[in-house]
Amino acid sequence: MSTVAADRRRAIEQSGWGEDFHLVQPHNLAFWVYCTLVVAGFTVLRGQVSIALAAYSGALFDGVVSFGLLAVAYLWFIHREDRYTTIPPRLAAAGFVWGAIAAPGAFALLGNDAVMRLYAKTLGASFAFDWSAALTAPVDEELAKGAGILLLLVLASRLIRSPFDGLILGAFIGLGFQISEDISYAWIGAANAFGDIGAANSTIVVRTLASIPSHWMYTGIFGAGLIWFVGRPDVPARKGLGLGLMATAMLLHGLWDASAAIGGDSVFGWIVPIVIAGVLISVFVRVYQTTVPIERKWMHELLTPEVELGVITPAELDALAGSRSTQRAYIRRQRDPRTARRVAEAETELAHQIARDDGAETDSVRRARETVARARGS
Amino acid sequence: MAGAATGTTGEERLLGIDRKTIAPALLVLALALLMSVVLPAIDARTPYHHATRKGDVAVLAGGITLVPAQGWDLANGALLGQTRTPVGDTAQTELIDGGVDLFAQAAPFAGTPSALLARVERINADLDHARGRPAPVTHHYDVTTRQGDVGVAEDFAGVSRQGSIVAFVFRSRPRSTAGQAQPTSEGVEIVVSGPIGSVARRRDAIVAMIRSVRAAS
Repeated sequence: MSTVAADRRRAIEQSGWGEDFHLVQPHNLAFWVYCTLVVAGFTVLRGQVSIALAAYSGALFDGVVSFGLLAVAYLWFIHREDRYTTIPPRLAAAGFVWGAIAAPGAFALLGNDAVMRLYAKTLGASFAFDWSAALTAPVDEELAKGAGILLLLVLASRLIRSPFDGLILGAFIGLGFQISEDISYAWIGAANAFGDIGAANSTIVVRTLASIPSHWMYTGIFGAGLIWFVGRPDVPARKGLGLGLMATAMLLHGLWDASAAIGGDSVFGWIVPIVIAGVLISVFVRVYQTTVPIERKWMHELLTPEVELGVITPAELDALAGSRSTQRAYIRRQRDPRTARRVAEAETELAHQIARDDGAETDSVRRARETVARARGS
Repeated sequence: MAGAATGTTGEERLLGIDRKTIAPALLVLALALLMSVVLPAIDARTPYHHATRKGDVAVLAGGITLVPAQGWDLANGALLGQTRTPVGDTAQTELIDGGVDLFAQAAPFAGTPSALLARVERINADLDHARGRPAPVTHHYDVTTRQGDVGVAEDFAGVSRQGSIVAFVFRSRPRSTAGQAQPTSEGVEIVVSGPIGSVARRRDAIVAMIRSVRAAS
């Protein structure tokens, strides 16, 4: 086996690229715990939804439709950013379901209520009014969502191979939690305003505007930290970094929740959440930039043999394994950018097919190469 | 073809379960039990340690206050001058004493106290219908605060609990961001409920608290 072919084999093995995900694993205790806690969470949330349906059905409907559309937009965006060794849709769906149902229903709802009341009981209602949400939700909710990453790591240990996978899976879990919470806030907004659906719609607008610095980012950072903490076969554990990132996710979540108390009555109070959002987005982008190189390396190693075969050019490979801006710049430089884009799409599909077929020379891989050639000639 | 990405392969098993999966799965299960069972149990056994004192004033919403009865516990809400977070125009306050609970919900409402009470009744009827527990209510009667604002109230009684719902609508004139005074209406719903007998024993304190509600002039 040539060196490049060996590199391709190693890239496929290390990345878990092309592996399927099957949730049903009767010999894996994580499967049973996952199912138990999703059912428990569903039972708790069903009680809430029945209240909303009985008295605030209009607000609930508006929330489901609005945040359902928002969920589709974010799912598309996260999937778009996961463009190298893509998380399989079924694994992403399992994460989203955990975030939307198990994390709030089986962990956070009851835990948050209890801890916030304990703050009021022991430190006084005024202290709790200012700080209990900021001291409670970041810990309870990040642990609840992080528990999903841990379970899915046990269920898909050959798929989750890098901190980047933790970032993406965490983002899917956090998004599920965020959408579930958004929908509940919509009808609770109406409930708190004597059933006024206008209050629900105001809540929907505010939560949509504040949806970027939110759970999908916190849990993405937490997920990358968790994978660094436990380590993977080809990514040695860095416990300090992992703990630091998990703590950072909690800290930023807490600061966001405390922004009203931090700002107080100051006329400049509105700056506080903007600064916190800016820091959160910066940390998320930094974690993305730090974790993505291994994915690019795997992409490069997987497709290098195709350069030797003359299927793709070295410049195309560099663009495919580069950042999105690198690829965009490459496409723009070509004489026919539309053709170049089609070629890039066909080459990406070729990479996925090679990974799905475990690096073997199959009819599907040959057809994918022919598609690249056709795209180039069209 | 790449294989299915099951989490484990060929490990030792205990009762049919791969041993390597047991510790992390049990850790997650323990965390769930801690949050959903243990913490609520600790909360249920923990008493309040910060009873309201003479001179305390609870802020029901921006510019609307209530004087809590001495010795009641503020379970939720803000005391005047004791919080950093500004109290908005939609807020909840909850005071408890023994098994008796006084819950106040404030939110913008353009209408009369009777209209507010009618809306609250409709919501409660929907919820009671869903729960299958309709609670009979009395006729409406007026309640007047010491400030002279008139609200509308009704009483309800269930098998083991009784209580009252009182609705007020306050007109206030907060300054807008443009510096011009704009009239707004703020609805306040107060629900007092508790075991039969307990409410009656605290009647004077409850009435005093409801009559103490006032809007900044």
